[in-house]
Amino acid sequence: MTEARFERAVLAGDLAGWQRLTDEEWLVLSQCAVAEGVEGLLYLHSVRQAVAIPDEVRYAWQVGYRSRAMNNFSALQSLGGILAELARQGIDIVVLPGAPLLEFYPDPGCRPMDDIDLLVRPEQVPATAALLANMGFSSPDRYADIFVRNSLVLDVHEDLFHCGRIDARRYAGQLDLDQIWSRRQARMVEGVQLWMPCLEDMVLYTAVHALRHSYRRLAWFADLRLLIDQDLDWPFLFARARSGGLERPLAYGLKFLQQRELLPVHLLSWLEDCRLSGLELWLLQRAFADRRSGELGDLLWSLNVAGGIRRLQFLLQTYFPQPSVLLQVFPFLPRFLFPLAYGLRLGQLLFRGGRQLVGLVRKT
Amino acid sequence: MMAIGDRVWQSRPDLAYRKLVDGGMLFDEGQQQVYHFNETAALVWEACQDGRTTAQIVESFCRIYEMEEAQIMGDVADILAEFRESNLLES
Repeated sequence: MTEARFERAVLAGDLAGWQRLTDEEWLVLSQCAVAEGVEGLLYLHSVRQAVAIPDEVRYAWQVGYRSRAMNNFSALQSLGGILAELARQGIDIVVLPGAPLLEFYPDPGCRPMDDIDLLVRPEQVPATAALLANMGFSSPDRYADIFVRNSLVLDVHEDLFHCGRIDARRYAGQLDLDQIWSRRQARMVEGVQLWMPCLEDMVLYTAVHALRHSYRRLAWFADLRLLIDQDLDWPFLFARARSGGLERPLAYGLKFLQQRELLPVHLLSWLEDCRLSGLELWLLQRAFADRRSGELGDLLWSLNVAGGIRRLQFLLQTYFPQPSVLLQVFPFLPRFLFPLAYGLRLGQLLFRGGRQLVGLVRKT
Repeated sequence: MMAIGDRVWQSRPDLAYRKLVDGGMLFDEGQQQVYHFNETAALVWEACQDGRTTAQIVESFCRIYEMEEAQIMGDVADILAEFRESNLLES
């Protein structure tokens, strides 16, 4: 019940029934909000709708709201200067969601943003890295494509889904990069002009991003809901999803909204036409039900890969990636001991798999 | 000599301001400094963005809060003094 209230509040700003919550329900609600980084959004709704909330919850949410607003706003203002300098040096950047999505929220305190994802043309990546270093950024050990300066974190992409880290992701659907670049749009976000993918591409990117991360954050569904409320070219979006092999990730995201009665009616027939398999629907239910602890995103994503051998490659590379990537998972392990990382990874997967299994048995 | 109430306050144009649901915030990129304003300070800042005088700010506050000028003047003066001390206004 509390989870349903939490989802309705985040996705639809619906605070119905909040006046009657028990102390225990408030505790759960507050913990969920803070864990998922949406306490700022809930704080804003509660102030706008003049809903009384317990003082300690209000204080915690207000602190989260203000600190998120401060971090996001200052990050975007700084980004404006950085992008201007990169543009002066002839480097094109497309800012990937989430930063562009802040445009659709009431203010920058409402959405978590851990880093800012920048799409750079592959041939311009070395020059971008050098310029960022000149601007005072440095890369953490083992993360060559991450650039950090104070609290600002930039993640430089050559493609949308970091296929350089896990090559087999190319089999799981892609958005044509030339089209991303040619259809990019300049829009203002918090007073800063950003080049970003067109809205239709942002919908697809957001749906895949949420799937990749096993739907751990409700904020990604809030993003999706805000995006589909925009003036979109739906025939183009569906065609783009089909040509990129991304119909299923889109359908999964829309399914979540449909189940919560938040999907516009005009999308229902498309969703029905997708004909998700029984296995997919079952996995999807589990993934949605266990969002915060779930690990099913990669498994679901693998269903988007055509062909058994490629699917196996996808899963193997995802669960046992190349040494440089796997060593990021185990930062305490010296590089020369990288074979050990594969053993640790196997243990980690067995532990997680066992936990999932126990959870399933308990629920059934 | 100009009376204190006639003094025009002008915010520094290089600062980025954002209104929030319970106030506002200001980002000084040069100093990498963020300032949080409560509702009242945010209203004073917005008045400074419009280049208002102290008297105009106090008058608008009297209308908004339905209070006497004497009650408002002290608070507005304190907020403006803090803005000046933090070097947020044009000299």
